[in-house]
Amino acid sequence: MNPLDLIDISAATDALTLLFSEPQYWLVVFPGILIGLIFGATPGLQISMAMAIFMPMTLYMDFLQAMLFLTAIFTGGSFGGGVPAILMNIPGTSSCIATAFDGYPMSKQGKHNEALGIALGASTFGVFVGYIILFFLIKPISIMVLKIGPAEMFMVILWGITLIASLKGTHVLKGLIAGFVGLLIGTIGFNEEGTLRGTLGNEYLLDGVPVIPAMMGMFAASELFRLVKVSYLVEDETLRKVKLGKIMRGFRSVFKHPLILFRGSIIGIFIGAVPGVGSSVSNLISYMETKRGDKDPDSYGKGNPKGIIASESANSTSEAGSMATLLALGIPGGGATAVMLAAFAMHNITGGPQFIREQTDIVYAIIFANFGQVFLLIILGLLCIPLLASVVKIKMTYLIPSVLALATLGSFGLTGNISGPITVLVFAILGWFFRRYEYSVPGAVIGMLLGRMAESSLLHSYQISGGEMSYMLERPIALGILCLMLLSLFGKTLIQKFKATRN
Amino acid sequence: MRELNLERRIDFILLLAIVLFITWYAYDAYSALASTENMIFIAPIAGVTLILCLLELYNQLKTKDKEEGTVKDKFKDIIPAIFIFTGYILSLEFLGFDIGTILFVAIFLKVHGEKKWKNIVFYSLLFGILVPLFFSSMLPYPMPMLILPTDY
Repeated sequence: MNPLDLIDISAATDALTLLFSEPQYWLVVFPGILIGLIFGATPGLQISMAMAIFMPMTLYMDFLQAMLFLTAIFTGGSFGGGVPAILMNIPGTSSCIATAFDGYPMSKQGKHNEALGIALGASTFGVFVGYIILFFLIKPISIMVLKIGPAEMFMVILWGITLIASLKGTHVLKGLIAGFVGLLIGTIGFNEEGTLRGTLGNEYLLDGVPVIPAMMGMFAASELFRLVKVSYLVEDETLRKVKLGKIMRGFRSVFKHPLILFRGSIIGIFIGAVPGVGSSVSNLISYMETKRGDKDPDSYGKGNPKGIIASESANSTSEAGSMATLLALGIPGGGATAVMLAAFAMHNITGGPQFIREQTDIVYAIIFANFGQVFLLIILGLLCIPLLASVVKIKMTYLIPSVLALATLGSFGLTGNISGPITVLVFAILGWFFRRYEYSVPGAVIGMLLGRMAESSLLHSYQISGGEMSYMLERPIALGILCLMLLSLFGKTLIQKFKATRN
Repeated sequence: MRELNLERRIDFILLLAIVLFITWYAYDAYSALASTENMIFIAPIAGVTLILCLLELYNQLKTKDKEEGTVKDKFKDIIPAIFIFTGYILSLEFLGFDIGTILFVAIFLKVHGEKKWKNIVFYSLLFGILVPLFFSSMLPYPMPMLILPTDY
């Protein structure tokens, strides 16, 4: 099929004319990206929160302008979330977990400038490629998403969970235990049938353990406890300098790894399109696939720049994936797109096949505007990074209480009550024990993130199949995902064995 | 069973705590409703995790004692920080985010080596006022505060 057949050329021309007819469309993009950067880079403040706070402003905008403003916040936030992951080991969002694996060790080695430059390069590339794919494949993606049922969702989650085993080469058993304990913690509270489990009568746990505060506690607070005797994040004074040249070098170095970038982008857009799971899993799958395919897998987790590229290219592309399901089906893939759906409603617009068919020019205008946002993000990112990277110059005596207080305030912001800060405390202590005795902290966090969804997907599959679990293997996409999962787990070993036999 | 050193004992206790949690949680879920729908996910995951814990226990008993100094962070270094943070979190509802944060930052700085009182007072006041103010203006619901304005 000719790729041009997938595009409505006249709608694309109309979209370009519309975008450049009035400067007002571009005026909202700059503040949008800046808001996204600030909210993404502040631990505890979420992109969805920023969009919800600023959504009332879109009442005074027309629909296209409102969408450009909100997608600009989304784009800025997708990079912003990686900044605290790199500098403080606090993933700003669940989609930046894998960014912290190598970003934070790079910061500790005094390579914070390069790490932030790499994150910016991979993020902007991811957003750009994501929207190009969306431009060509919005209809096929929406058809694919319609074919995804609970069985396929469960397989994607299972894929994410099995990655836990290989997150750390050594201590695989402890990694799996941490992941499965995380899964069980993730199911605490009411299940879909209205049965209450594991709350000990605590009303704050009725909806389950607040996952993002738990993530902040396990990742950030537990790590900060370990650093109380360290003077600076980067011990060597000469390495603490913030240099634009190094940031630019990091930015440019990204493009020396086109394979990792494209693989991350492809994984990002297709996994990102799966509602609910999306970017939380895509960054991990991309990271693990890159690690698995590398000649030196042991260098990952110790400050390998390729780890940041893999994670950031996948999580930024996921934005386009989740936009595909929103625009084509009217289904929000996560918090940010749920706010966008509310903005759709405010402007009396319903996403879905009819919207794409009748307002193709608007859909294309949103996609084209995101290409422009990429360049603005590069400029704003390069302007803001030197300021953000100055974190390494702050004494740990000051940095630790400040970040702990920020995490506490942010967790309150997420839950609206004291359960958020208490969750941070409990999981900070648990995370510290897990780190000390080599249980996988990311494994536990991923388990918590996906536990509830995994249970629901399995239950729905059971109900749909009337109790015949073999149904899951009768679904071609589910089977395809299972094959991919097995291939990613055992493929390399099998190839090696095959080669050894041939030799 | 061979005699264990302190590090291995704590490692063992942590594993035991995990086993107890899994067993209790699976039992609690089963007691809540002993149906397939309720246990379809919890039962197999709990079962697999308990088997993994048994394998890990076997590993722990098989391996040698951890050598002194292999673990970088010491309990005595960490405990003051954990206590101060715990005090901060537990006092938030009556001290509020303003006074609570000011006191937390000030005490943390003092305990962890900041000698200049002027720096402690200036930074804790600046941080403890500006940051809660920023969050309270951004969040859609009131935050507990003792002095700063709030609808809590």
